Amino acid sequence: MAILLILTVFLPLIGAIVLMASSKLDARRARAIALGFVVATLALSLVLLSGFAPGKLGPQFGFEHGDGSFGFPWMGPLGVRFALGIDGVSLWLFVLTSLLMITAVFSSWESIKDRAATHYALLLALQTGLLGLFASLDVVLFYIFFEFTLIPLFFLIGLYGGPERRRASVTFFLYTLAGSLLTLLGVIALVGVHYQYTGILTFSLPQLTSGLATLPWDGWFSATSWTSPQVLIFLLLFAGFAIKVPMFPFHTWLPLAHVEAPTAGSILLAGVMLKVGGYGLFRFNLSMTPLGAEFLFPLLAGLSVIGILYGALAALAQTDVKRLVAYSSVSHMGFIVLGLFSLNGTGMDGAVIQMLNHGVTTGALFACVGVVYERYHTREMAEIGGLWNWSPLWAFFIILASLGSAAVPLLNGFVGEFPILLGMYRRSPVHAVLAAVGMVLGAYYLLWMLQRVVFGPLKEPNPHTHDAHANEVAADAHGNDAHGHGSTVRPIGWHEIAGLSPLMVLIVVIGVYPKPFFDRLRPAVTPVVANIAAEQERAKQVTSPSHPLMTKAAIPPSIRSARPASSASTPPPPRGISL
Amino acid sequence: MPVNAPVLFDFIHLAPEIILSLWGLFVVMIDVALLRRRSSATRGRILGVMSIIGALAALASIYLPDMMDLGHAASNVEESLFQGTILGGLLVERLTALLLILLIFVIALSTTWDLTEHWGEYYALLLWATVGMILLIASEELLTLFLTLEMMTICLYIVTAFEKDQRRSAEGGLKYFVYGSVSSALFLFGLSLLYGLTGTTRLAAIGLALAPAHTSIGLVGNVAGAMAVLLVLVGFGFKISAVPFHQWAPDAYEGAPAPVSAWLATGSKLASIVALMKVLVQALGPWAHGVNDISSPGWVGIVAVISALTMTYGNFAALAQKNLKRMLAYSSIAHAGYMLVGVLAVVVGAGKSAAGPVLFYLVVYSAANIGAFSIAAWLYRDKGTDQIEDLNGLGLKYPILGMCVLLLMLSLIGLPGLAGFWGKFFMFSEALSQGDDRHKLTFLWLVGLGLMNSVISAFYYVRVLRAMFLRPSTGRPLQAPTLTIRLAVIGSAAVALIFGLYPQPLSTETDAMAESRIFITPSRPAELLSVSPVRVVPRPNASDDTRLRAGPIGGGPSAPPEPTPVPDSRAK
Repeated sequence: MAILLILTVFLPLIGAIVLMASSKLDARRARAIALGFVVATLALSLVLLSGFAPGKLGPQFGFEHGDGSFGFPWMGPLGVRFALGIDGVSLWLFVLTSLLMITAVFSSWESIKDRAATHYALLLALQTGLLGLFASLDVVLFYIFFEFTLIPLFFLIGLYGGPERRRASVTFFLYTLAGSLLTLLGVIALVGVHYQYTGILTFSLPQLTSGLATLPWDGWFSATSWTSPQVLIFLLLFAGFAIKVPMFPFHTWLPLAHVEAPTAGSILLAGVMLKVGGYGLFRFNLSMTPLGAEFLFPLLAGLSVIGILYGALAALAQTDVKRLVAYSSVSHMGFIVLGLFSLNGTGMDGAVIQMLNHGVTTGALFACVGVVYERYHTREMAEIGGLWNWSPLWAFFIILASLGSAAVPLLNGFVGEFPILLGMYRRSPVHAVLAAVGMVLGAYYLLWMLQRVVFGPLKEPNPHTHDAHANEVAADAHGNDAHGHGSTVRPIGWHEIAGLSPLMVLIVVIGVYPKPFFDRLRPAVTPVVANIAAEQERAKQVTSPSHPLMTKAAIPPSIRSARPASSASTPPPPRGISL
Repeated sequence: MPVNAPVLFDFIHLAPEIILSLWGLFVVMIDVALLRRRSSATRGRILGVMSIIGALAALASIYLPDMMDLGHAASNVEESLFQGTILGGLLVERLTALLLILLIFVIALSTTWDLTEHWGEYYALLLWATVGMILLIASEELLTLFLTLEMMTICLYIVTAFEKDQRRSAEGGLKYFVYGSVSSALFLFGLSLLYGLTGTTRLAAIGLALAPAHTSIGLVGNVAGAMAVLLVLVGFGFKISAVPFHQWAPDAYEGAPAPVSAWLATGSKLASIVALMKVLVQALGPWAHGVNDISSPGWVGIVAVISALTMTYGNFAALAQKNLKRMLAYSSIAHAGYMLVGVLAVVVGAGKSAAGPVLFYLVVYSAANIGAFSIAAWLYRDKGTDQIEDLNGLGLKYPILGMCVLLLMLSLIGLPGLAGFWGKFFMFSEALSQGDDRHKLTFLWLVGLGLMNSVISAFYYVRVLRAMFLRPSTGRPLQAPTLTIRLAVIGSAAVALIFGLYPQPLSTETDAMAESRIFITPSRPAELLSVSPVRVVPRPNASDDTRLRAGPIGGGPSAPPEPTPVPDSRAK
């Protein structure tokens, strides 16, 4: 099984190399090859899913050795290892990636004609990046995959996107890179702290997590000011992940990138890339520096709630369907982050399952929007309407996805957002109530969107105006606008049905019977929650007035000299002897 | 072995330098004597091939001592040659090999277009500049250091201005020369002060003379010493184009023919950084900073400020550039800033292998720059300009080269999975793990600044990628690249990718190189101050866990693990 995991991660990359090497391939063959690789990867992921033992603690399929290390040595003296493995949290994101990839390939089935081989190669390369990222058990490996995902997306947006694609791709690339370098600094700081106090130089995620939880250094467990080590490192790590999520003040890249990206790019961006932020927050911030989250709670919860409300209000103001879905992502990701920062089991369970849910529903919504855009070359809600009359099946898809996204009970969104609100309510009722308002707003903009686009008399854009528009838009990116227009628009194709149906099934299944999902992710969430409680307990001991750390004179010299650089209260250094 | 008499042994170890020097003369003579009637392009090609043969011969001759089995297997012992003025051994051998390989690429690139009529002189100057670089790395003594530095730069002044029909070439060369000669004068003055203060020109002996007690006190109250340090830093700052001594670099890089720019950015910088590291660590170590306080007067503070200024200014200035070579010039200024962080880590740190990451970075950086400048050469050959916008659409027209440039640019940004990332990662983590907590605070700021600068640098590197991949091609399309350009680009991309995915072989190698000599703590001062033609010190087993161990080296039983060299009592 462990070999299977490595194979699953790198199978798409093989596909990408094959397609890249034969870049002259025509669109038909290229898409067939890409579909083959994507389906094979999904099949392998499902085998992994079936082989996953629900109740087991710790990562699975990871070549575990007796000493608690995973994988194979990669950079000897540094202790960096090539270690892959998945636990309950990464499992679902892993499977989600494989599944959404199929939707992505199907949604570019007809729309990508030029340079198709490169397009599919980029998609497959992106898949390897995402799968590897979720399966990494080594921080360096994680970081490599984390940054690697930027490159295919840069080209996907920049080469196949809408009219503003160059600006969108460069903005996206630089914005994310800026954040992730701060994250790198945070990761180095984590490894450094761990090395300094335990004497073990390790980059292994499980080892770092457990080592930092029981660090023999009391200063680590006192998070009382902005310069406390856990708070500082939390902020560094947070910078990269908050941009990825994106949280409220860092979300500005998202609408641009989502709107300009080709449909497949949007599906993966919203469906999986945003989850990378949530996953990183869970894996690093909450697992390794929970006291930082505790200390910064007012700020973090406040930003999340602002994000929820702001995203919802901004979505209400949009006239472009794709832009509306993009802003709805800002709002829904706010829920996920809110659930994570509730720091209790209920909220975090909800947040993790909500990552899966949001991937499924938003992926479906973007795919539905893509279907319309491919035919009408517009996404303006004023220009289209009554599409129920064009294709009832498509209408069914988008309605179900919207209802799932709006957290209607018995559909998947409810299963995620209800525990999130419950967990948050236990922690801070005010934030929970405000977030619930966001939920109502969410239902509002989604239903309003449905009303304008799906219901009413059929309204299709004037063929003359949008032909000109289409020519201009598609001139060098798509190059194909030879569809018939008017009342005889091409009906929804088999490939689009095939791409959307699995998502629809998941929306209902998770909504009706979420137990198998929770069963698998809970063993991964529980230790993190337990660790948070333990660290809070330890923090209380450390900061109690009787503790030696609070009385400065009593600090033993060993601790004093071992104080980290980030601590602001370094004693004044002895003066040099002057001549 | 008789003292004061250079023996065959010494000369055999200098074989690469000797071969290159003679070969330069040979190339000039062939050009003048046999090829007079040929066209310029033909002569360029023939002489280029000949120069490459010379460089290859020099490359082979590095292993001459091994082959002749002189009793000292060169990779197992330290040798100082010519009464300790020139260093042999692993570090010099490997760096010589690296320089020669880079030189071969530079010579190959020179044949891309007909940049001059005086091919013989051109190649000879390139070869002689290389001799200067190799000896600069190997020099163990101030006078040799100065002479080799001048040998390198004077040759480079001339080749910079070699494209005589181009105004900017002459301008660049003149600026390089004027700035260079002033800084050389200041540098020489600094060296004379050092000699006056210590009475010796040997690097290691200076280090000993400066540390009379068991504590080092930095430069507190020492005006003459501070003067000497500043002047030495001016000299080196010019060579590595550190801010504020960088003004020549953009003009010279832009004006010089692309292969020469590549040689300025790689060979010259590489040799100067290694020499700077040697001088700072071996000779001026005691003046680094006061007792246990990194911010007390000493050159650590100065170098830290220079480093911060250099990387920040270089990156911000590069943002505004539209010319590819000029942008690369500013980017190479910024990279010098990063490397100075690494140099500081060597000095403050206790481990000899701390220099390993800097050497790693130098290798990776040099390889990437050769690739980048060969793209500039390609542009210039077909379009006569080297603006970034001339790259438009190139990546889609030549997908393989496009991919390679993509790798190079991402490696220069420092994206993980590529060699540039490991360079920065090793160097910055080395910096962060050095010294005690008060040092860490300084380094934390520098490293944080370095990472921020990497983000800024992404803006202009991505601009190259945007031009190549996202914009439609404009104007006259480029002809297919020559074989040499292909080789240079693909080769340097391969370095970025291979050492990006598996950096361990290179990092082990650079650690072993650093370990072999650069941070030697003089442990037997009596012997060192007297004349010792050949010092044979067994090297520790290189397969040890070099990064984590901070033990003494050099065979001396009393070699202390402190960051600054402390002589034992026999020094007095």
